[in-house]
Amino acid sequence: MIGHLLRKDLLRVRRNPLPYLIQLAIPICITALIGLAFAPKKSGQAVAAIKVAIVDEDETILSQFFKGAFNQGEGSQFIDPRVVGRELAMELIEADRISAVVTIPKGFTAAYLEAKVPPPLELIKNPAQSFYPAIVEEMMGAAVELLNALTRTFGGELKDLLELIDLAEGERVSMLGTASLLIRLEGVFVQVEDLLFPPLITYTKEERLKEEEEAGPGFSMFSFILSGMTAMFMLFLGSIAMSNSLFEEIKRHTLARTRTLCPSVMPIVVGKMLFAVVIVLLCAAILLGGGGLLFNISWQNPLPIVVLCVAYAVFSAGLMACVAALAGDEQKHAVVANIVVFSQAFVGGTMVPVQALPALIRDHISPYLPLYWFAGSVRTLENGVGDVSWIMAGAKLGLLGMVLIFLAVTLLDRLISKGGKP
Amino acid sequence: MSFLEVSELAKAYGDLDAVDGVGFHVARGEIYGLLGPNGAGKTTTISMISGLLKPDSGSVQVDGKEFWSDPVSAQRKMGVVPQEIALYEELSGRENLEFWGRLAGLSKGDARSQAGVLLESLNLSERARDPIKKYSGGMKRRINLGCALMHQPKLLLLDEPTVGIDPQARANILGFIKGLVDDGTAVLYTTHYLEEAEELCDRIGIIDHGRILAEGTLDELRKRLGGDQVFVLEGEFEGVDPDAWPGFGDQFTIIQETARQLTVTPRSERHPSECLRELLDLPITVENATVKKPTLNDLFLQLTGRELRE
Repeated sequence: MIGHLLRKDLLRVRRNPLPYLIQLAIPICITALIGLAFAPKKSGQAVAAIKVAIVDEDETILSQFFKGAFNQGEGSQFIDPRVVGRELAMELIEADRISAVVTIPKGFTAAYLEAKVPPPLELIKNPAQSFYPAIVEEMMGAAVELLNALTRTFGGELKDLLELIDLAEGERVSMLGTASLLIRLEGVFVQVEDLLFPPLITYTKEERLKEEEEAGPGFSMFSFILSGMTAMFMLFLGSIAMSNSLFEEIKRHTLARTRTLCPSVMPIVVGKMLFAVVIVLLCAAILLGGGGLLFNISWQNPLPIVVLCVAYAVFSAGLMACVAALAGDEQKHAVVANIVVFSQAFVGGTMVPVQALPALIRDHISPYLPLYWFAGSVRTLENGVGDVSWIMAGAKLGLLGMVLIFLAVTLLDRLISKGGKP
Repeated sequence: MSFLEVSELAKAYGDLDAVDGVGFHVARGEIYGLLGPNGAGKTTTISMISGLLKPDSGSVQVDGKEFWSDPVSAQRKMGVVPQEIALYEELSGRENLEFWGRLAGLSKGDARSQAGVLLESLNLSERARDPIKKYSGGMKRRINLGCALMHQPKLLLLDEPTVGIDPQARANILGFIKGLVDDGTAVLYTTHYLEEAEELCDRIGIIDHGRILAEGTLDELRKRLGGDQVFVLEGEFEGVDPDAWPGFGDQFTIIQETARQLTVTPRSERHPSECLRELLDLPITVENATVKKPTLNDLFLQLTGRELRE
């Protein structure tokens, strides 16, 4: 009998999957939105490359250096420069295809080298974007500081150096002038050697990479968000499954009719619980599996995650069944279920990382929430964030889930025996 | 022998006695009608017979066995058609029939073949694959009835099965039920439609406020009124006292008395013209007088002082 009831409930979902699909689409969309805004496009990249248009109205060797600087070294991973004319640059920014326009004005190099105040570099930020134009502005600030430092350090040598490099075709190099310039430059380099080449950086780079690889999984924004969203929406799906299978059947009188062929309420209750568990598990599989494919997440620890999902599904179904049984009707159930889910999501780490919460909540409330056990342990496994043991979390979730299911069965038995009236 | 025997059934919700000492029996091949207004206790009675509610007292015997001694066996012998359309709207007519059949213990093959037979009988074969939500009200009612018949029950409990459908669909359903009775099925039929009870039922129990007020065949119930004529007098009867009219109480029974209307029936069989002459001789001004055959509503009026439809 339980099999018939479960099959019927699943067939009903297949025929009318919209309420469930909406609940599955929301976390995928949220993950996509947040993930695309903050997550890297390539492994190891902190942010996606920022598209910047460079308008070179000066067209001197210095402005070419400045343009080229955007493409050098690691900068090319973060900045995607495109040298265009002013009109095209404005079209691109209006079409929201670039984050900013940097214009090198005519006469900039000449004024700069003659130690005059040059016309200012012009930055136009895309008002439709928030983070990327701000990053470009910061970089512009750094570039201006660098140019100022160069003039203060090299003074007249800089002009001679640029003239030497910018020699017209067929023009002869003055050997004397060049030798003089090199001697002067050497003197300056010797003076500022310690400042220009501080003993930092390169030797630790390889070791740090090795340490990171050995330390555990790398951080993935998508998997971090998706695990929290999954925890939250597994609860929502549990709530919808109970609402659709219990209250709708009470409302449509099909539950009463079922009881005219099944004097014991227990098979009906067990059928509903199983249905909720199956739905929540399907939700987890779609969100973590499908979401993983969609966002190119490679789950490093599939078996522990499956164990956690099963335990959390039992917990979700049990919790939402208890809420349904205590609420007694659809409207009250919807209100109470929303409060339960949202409060857990806020405090348990779905909405805001637990580490960012006030100390009182972070240390004394969050660690006791089942949603945190699930999301926290998945994040520990996959992102190396936090220290929640998946074995302990799974055990606690499973145990609590069983207790809640037992309680829900008792409460629902009483509710259905009374004809669905609380 | 009775297939369903109900005796002294009672159910109270707090201070309200929803059902108070109801008793009747239904034989094989018989339709027993439970006629009463909304809130009379009909659905509560059916709920107790079908096992949805446990009675506070009284007993229900199905095929000679106490219901609660073996509820599964008792439920397998009965089919219940609820007042509401209790179907899964997303599923097709066939899927609904097969689901309820499987729940009633039929094998997959039996459920499939029985669903086919019922769809044919209910003239729904062509729409068998359509989801219920696309059915008309009458079609839903027919499937609602069919779901209770999947396991070919010997006792059919019908709780107002024709509420809210057009006369043609109602006639179809009533015709189908008559066909079942011909095959020996015992039917308990609750309704608040007088015409349905008069047309369909072999015996009728009139129920109000949880009690059966009168019971019998249609003729037996009509005879309780004292004759086969009812006189309805219209006029200004404010403040009149029929007890003061000499000999009136010996000749007539008052069914209903209002400020504008006096409904009476003669105590003995007499010619209508004689009765009418006596009524027009009463010391009141009669503006209009009508004679008609007594209905169950007249009996209900006499028993409760109010119309069945009130």
